Amino acid sequence: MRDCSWILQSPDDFGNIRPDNFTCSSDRTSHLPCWGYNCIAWAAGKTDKWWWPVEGDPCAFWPIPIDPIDPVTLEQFIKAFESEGFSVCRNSRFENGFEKVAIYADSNHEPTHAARLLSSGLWTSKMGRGEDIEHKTLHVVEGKRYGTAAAFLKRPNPSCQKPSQLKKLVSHLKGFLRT
Amino acid sequence: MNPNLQNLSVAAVVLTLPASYSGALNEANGKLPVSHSLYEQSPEAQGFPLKLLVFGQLQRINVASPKWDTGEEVAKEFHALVERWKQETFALSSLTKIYAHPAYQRIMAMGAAGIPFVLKELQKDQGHWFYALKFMAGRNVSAGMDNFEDAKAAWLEWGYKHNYI
Repeated sequence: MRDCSWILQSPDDFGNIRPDNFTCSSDRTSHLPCWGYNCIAWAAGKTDKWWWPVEGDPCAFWPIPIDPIDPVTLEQFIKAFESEGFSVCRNSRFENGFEKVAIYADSNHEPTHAARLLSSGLWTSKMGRGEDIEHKTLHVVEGKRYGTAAAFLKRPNPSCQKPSQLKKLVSHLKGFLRT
Repeated sequence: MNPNLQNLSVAAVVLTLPASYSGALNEANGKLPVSHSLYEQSPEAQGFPLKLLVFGQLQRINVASPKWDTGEEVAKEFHALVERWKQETFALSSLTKIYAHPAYQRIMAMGAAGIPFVLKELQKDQGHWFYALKFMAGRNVSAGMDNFEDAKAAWLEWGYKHNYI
């Protein structure tokens, strides 16, 4: 089922979203075991687990050992993304050859959401157990539900590696033709 | 849960929760049917954030909850709570917030009385019920499992074995 109208009908939670600044880009996942995947998994490029640091919960996956004292902090979420090849960066601006993610946090600095920057320059977010959306800016999903974008990370974009390999091949072919 | 413990009442029960749960507790203030929630083992030892401290003498008498006199009432309240929980947490990714939601907390506070309803919900729904079951049963039947179907099967088997379903 794909129907993102519920987001527009939640102005208290998503005060910045409008029909012209986002598009619905997937079906919802609420019918899947453990509701499929969430925004954190989606930001890391995964769609097989619900990523959240909860010890002993078969419906929760976390890529690093869970901090027993304070697992839900920006620091821990940054470490989780670092384990996926990301490193902290200064801003959310598009950089050629890099994939960026933004981690949102509420007023208590507790992580709530994550979004990923696409090569199109749009951001993609998985909305809870609902649909994936593409939104023009990070601000679009900021508000009462997700708070604000609080940390940014980047990693070399795997899809950008292909042109360089192609360049290598072309260079080899040129060399071969010369000989 | 040990069937012998199901009909026990307690003289006094104190709930202590981390600060993040205070909202849920406030909303459920005075309504928690804690007489249903008895733990066989120390919840703390199993890594639970919820601690139930039971004071007073346990008495072997049948005491029906004043709030829930019939299974029908429990069922009605349970389904209303599930509906509210699903609706109000739909956009959330944070399991911290999803599990701390007042409706989910209230379901967990049903303890053993709520287990049959949660297991039935688990049979038809694919959602996040293992966390609640761990609290309500006082044991983690799906410990060490990271697969939904395995965990679901383990809990349903446990439910059959203990006459919850």
